[in-house]
Amino acid sequence: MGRQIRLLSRIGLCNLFGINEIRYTKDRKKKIQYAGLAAVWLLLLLVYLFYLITLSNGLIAIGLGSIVPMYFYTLTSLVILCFSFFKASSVIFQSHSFEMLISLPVTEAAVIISRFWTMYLTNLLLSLITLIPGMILYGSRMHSGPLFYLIFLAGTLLLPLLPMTISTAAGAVITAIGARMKHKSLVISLLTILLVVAVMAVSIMSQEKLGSTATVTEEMMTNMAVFMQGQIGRLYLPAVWFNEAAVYGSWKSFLLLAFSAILLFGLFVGVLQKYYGRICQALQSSSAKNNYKMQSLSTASVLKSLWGRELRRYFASSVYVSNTIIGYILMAAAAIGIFAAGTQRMAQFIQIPGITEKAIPLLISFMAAIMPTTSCSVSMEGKEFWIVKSLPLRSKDIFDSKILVNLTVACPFYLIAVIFGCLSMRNDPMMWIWILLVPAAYLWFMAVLGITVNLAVPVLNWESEVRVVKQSASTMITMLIGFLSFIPSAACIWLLPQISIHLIFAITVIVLIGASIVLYLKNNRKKLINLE
Amino acid sequence: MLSIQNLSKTYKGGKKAVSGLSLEVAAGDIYGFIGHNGAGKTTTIKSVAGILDFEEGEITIDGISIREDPIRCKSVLAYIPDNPDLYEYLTGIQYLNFIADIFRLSKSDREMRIRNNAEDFEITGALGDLISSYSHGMKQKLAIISALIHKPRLLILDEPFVGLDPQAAVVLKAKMHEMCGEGSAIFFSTHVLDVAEKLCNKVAIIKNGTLIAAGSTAELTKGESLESVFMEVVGNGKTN
Repeated sequence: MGRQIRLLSRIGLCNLFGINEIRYTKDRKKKIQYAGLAAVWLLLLLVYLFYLITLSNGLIAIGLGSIVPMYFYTLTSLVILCFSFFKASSVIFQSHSFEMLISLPVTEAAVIISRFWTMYLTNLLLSLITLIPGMILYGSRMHSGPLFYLIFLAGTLLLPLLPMTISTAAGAVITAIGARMKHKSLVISLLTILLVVAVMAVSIMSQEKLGSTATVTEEMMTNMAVFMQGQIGRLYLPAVWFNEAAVYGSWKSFLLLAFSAILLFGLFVGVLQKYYGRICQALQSSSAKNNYKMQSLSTASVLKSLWGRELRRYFASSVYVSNTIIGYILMAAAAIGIFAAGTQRMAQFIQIPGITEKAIPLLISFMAAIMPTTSCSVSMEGKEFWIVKSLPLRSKDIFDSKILVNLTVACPFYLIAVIFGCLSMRNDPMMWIWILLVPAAYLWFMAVLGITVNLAVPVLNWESEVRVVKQSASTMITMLIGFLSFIPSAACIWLLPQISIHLIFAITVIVLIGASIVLYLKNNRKKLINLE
Repeated sequence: MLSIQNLSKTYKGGKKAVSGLSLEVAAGDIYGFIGHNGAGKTTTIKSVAGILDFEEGEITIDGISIREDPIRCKSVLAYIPDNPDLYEYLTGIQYLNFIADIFRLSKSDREMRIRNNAEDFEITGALGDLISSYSHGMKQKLAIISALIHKPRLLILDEPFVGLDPQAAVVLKAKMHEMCGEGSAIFFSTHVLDVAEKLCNKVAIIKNGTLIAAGSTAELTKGESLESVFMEVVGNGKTN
């Protein structure tokens, strides 16, 4: 079985981060795309590293250096948990290749273990990239001995196991429930979203217990650090064991860490193996009644027909839905949260001096910029792209339908956000206009921008939707541009309080609409035949 | 109906898939396009269907350039690939209705044509099921029906008989004859030389991206089998 695992893993890893494609493709544009994506990921990693190092220095400065390894361990575990959760099901179950593999003389156990091994190595890479610099920095600041480095390294190897187990278990349960239903994707999407919303709600409620102060002080930071230490101690013991092993050289703690991680992981794989084949087969099976009788058919305009097709495409993919709808849910949640907590509390919560409740339209809009559905909508055409290419359709018709779907999905959450945003600002009716217009302008801008970016960097040959929705240059670049687009307005509000907020928002809306029109016209000039 | 003039297509990486290809398909023709694997058949077909761009040459359908007015050309043609990846998240009837909407078919026309074609290909019962539940042959049939419902003047097919059961193959051949009798033209690639010989009034043979023989089937074969002509032509690179 070892040989089978090795062979299967090699196939799974050979195209990790698109390496095999980069090696063998003769398409220069694709190589540039991958280079761009690598640059974006590098930037994100550097930002994360910067955050860890700053946090580490801050904690050492206030005399809490002994808990830094625990923080690193917990934060990196959380990052792995989040990343793994959305892709665990599609990587582990990969139903499209399951039948092909099972027809070969390989065991199911080998298939499962090879997929976990692939996931583990990906997550290990993240652990090493983030923890090694932190380890070196901490070790040098605290003058740690060789034992610290040894245990830290060993702990880093163990780190991915638990978050992987948790995220895959959650993903497997959701997939198993959905696999039995007729509308699998829709059920899986709903369960995933419910779980994410529940986790977010718990996280926000935990933060509430921190209390609020008007300014950031050293005392507040110390209180926060001590509080977080207590929380981690209650909720994530492996981080505490890691800390005790690394900082105090406790072998007992290290053995507890190693034993719990390996045992839980092994148990989970053992249990999953029992149901794996059934889940994969259930995922692949579709109910077929074969009893259709011709009925009266309805006609629709070309745009409406394309919109219907696009909407069905959207809801047919749990990965697509769960990754894109989160932003809109947060948009509505932010507005409800501001209404419930009050605008004064909101200003304290954000802790950025000068940002007042007048930034509410911008705060609500920020959530809408996370990930528009259009940022990967062209890529999602995939192998079926030949259909629209061979039909008498203008590029405009196709792109309009994608933008419409984006706006359709966002609309209910936008309306909730507007209602609660206006209720939060009931003492300032003039702001209602901006609560209505600014998020609307951002929604429209992001929807159009998503198409523009996806046309520039499309990925049409994909095997898994995760590749397109979560790991594509298009989604990353769209998100980055979206976030950057807030900087001018936010900077004006923060740094130039003497300027009328109405002027700032008016200019913001005009610029966004203007940019949207320019990009919209540019998109419509694109010929689909040039996309391969 | 279809005129290909000096078509050349080179893929990124330098591979020249088609070089200087010219042929004409007249109304009423069932034109077979044959060649070995990787000869350039699919590239040619996709270029005609307006799916693949090309750097040299011209393709016109009913005198209209596929490059200059692709929408008008696509309004009168239908394309079926060799391995039809259809929208798995739609039911068969939803897919057909979608195609009917794009071609702006009236309610009565679409209902009648879908009903008749679905009955002919015996997949009426499956139209209410998701395409993801279809076998390869059923997807092929659905793709064929979607191509036929808007009565195209030019039907372009890439290996249409692969995956079709014998009954469906007979139905498809009958429909091809019917279409050509009404003035349409059919241009299709196939590896099944027997079918090409019996069905096509004209054939073209392509080798390594270059057209090496084209003309009426009778003139090309001259009493021999198409298979032996093909082997001779592909081996020598020329006809006698």
